[in-house]
Amino acid sequence: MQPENSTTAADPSMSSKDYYFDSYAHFGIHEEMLKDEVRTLSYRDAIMQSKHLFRDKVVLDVGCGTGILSMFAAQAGAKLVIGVDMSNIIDKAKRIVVDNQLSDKVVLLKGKMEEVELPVDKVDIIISEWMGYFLLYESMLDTVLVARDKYLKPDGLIFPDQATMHIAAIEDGEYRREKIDFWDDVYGFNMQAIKEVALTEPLVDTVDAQAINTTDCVFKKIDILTVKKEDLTFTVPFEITCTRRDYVHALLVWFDIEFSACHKPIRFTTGPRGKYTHWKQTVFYVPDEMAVDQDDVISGTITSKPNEKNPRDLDISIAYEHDGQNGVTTAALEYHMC
Amino acid sequence: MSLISYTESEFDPRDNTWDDWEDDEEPQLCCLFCTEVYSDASSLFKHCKSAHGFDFVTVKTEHRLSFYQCVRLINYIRTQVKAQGDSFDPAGFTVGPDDAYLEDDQYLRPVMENDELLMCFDDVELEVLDNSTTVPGLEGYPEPTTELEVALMKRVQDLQFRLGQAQSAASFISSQFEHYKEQVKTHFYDALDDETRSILSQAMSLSLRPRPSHAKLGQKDPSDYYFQSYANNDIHETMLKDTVRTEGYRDFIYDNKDLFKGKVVLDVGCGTGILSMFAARAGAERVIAVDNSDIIDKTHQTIVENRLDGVITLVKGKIEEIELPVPYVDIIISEWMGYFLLFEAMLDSVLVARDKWLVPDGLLCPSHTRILLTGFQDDELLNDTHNFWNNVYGFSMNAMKTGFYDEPLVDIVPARAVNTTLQCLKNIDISYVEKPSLDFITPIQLTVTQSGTFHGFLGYFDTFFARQADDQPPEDDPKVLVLYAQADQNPSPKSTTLPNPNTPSNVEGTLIHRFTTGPHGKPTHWKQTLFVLKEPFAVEKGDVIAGKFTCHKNKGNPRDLDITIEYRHIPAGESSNPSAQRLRSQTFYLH
Repeated sequence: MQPENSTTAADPSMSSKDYYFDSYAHFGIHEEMLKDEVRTLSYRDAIMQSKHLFRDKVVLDVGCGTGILSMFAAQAGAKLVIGVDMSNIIDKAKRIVVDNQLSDKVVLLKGKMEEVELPVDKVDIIISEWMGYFLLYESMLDTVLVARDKYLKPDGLIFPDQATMHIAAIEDGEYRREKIDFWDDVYGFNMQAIKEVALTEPLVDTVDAQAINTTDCVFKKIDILTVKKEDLTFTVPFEITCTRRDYVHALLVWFDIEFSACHKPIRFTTGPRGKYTHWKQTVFYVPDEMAVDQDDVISGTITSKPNEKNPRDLDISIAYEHDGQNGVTTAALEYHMC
Repeated sequence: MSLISYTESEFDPRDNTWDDWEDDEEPQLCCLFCTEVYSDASSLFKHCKSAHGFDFVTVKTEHRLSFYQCVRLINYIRTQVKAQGDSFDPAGFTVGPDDAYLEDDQYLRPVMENDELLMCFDDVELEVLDNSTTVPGLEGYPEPTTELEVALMKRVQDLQFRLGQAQSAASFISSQFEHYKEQVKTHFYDALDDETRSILSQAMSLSLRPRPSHAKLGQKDPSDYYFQSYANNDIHETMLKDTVRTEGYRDFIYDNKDLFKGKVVLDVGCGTGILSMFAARAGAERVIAVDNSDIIDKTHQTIVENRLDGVITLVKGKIEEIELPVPYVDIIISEWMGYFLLFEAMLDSVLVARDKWLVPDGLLCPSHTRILLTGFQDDELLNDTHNFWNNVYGFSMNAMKTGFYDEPLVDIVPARAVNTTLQCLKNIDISYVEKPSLDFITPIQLTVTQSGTFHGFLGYFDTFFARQADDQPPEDDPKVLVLYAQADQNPSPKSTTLPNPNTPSNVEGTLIHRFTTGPHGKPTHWKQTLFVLKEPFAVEKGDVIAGKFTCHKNKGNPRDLDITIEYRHIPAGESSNPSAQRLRSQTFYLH
């Protein structure tokens, strides 16, 4: 979840816009991110357990926000940490760094990664918390890649450096009724028009691990050290096998993150089997529920690409085939994440 | 400023729904001369007569003392007793009809804190009168001869007496209020510097002058964003699933189908069209549904799917600019309420529609709304928000607190967070209200009901649906929330008997539907509005928080609200000189 991107709201006027972007409520998102302990503690552990890697190194924090990761890096022994963020949050971060007596080690720069001038030519390590919903929605990965290509030494490290995207199917009758079928009978009225839209919008929410009724499949692996921007537009296959006789109401996507540079790799998952994170999971409801039996196979492809009109939005297509006892059913579904 | 204990006087212990409350609140009447305490005035005066030789009732009857004069007499005696102590001789104290203190207004001020005797000394009168055997004739009428005439004249006298009593009580209270207003002006308004004062008076007259149009200034109309934000599904889903809201409207409409049958209805800001469809199902002949958001395209499909397109006509546009296909409407329905009721200012559009199209005796749904204010303490909330920044994974992030106190928090607090009496800040009778009065300044006076910390003020609103414009919703008891707070604190079987605040009120045989967004009701998507103070302070039960509440539309973006709260903390023992307490002020921007 990246606060920079919440700047798409139309401006009431310059002055109240300025007010808004400096207002307390606007920074509420940082509170939510910091309170996500899976996220913040994984970064802290990864950095603090890698003092041997950070000692006397130059570190770049891409999208530093409140500066929390920069301060971890400074605590881990970095010689210099450069934090970059284009949001007004950096004005607060500067005060936070001073308040914590780290201003001799942490330098914060306001601006776009592409435009700011760093006080160094190259850095040893890039740290960044760039992930969005569905990993890629409103993510800052593009910016991390810009920083990597411009500033990272050839043998430099990136924290984190591995991301994997997972898909599985879920039984979700009750919630589906509440979210989708709700529109069939709203206080006695039918609201199909809204239901149709609701079906094309992936739902970001938490799902109970018990709801998963298939194997899960890694459909996309991203190595941040080597990935190219164009790799982030993709069509990839997936195949999942049903683990019980059940109904499938939706497909579920989540991601795992790994800091493989650590002495012992540190990982966290945003999936339903892990602890709650603010990324939750992403639910793609299918229009007609599927009756499945154990060992049935659901296979297909998943496509993700930026929307042509608004590149911040994602167009996600899922095509699948279910080979079950009652024959083969296929579907091709289009979703819009906005 | 005399802090007359209005909370006691407005509280009606006869209301049997509050019988467990009554137990706690037995009046504590102190003897005029010693430290004895009685629970009713009659016993107290009997005690004064037998123990101290002072017969208040006889003195009062003999000299025909008015309500005021009795108050002065009681306060005069208390002053003397206080000053002279044991040397004061009650038996030797006499009252003459021309004694100066009986007309001296300094003795209207209670000498004793929370002197409940002042509120009930005249309870005794009726007993005395009822016991009297002589019946002097009524002026202008012959002496009664039959038993019936005696009874009737006695009854007339009784009523005359009650009337006189009520009149003098009313004029006493009204003079107290005038006095209070004067005090507010002297202490708060006149104490401001010229600049602040000019800002204040500007704010008060703000809506009387036309505002510069943003479009003309070449800026983007802020309302574009406003309307666009209502185009996506989430917000409508949230609103529809707010059952307090949606069922509140539905129940009123379906329970009053006779009002809708054959009528022309206008739905201002129809959204998904749910209210229009309720009205159509209730028998409206025609419903015009207006909205300026893109949701209306989906609403059109919904109307067709539900085969109500014969009754409901959708119009896309701003209410200020559109033409209606009818010359007038009988009923306007609208769900226009925002956070703290007035945020987003959609009521303005409803008023435009009312003035343009509503027939003279037409109906507005809702018909009345009320903004309410109370105090709160919620340590958990403060720890979770403000204090969180003290230590974030070992780092101090106080910089993140900047601005915390400049905006109200919109959040849900439990009923037990309420720690003062309740006060109505603004009563809006939608049939009659004019736009300028939606910017308002209201004196506040809250009495602490729970010792602890005063974290700030809590605002919420109630919504009422009357069948006729002139049916008035019932007043709220200032202590109504205390019971819910107690029940929330100590859940017991008793607490389940507390009335659901969303149950319609029966006012003279007519039901007025209502729902609340207060902490004692089922949570709504409006939550509550919390004005957290920079300087929280310790309070004791009985302390008073007094001051004034100013709310006006933001000049730059009239959908936002600028709110200033000025307040004094007046400890229970120091109510005689409230201006000795420091006046504090805090400004909030709701955006």
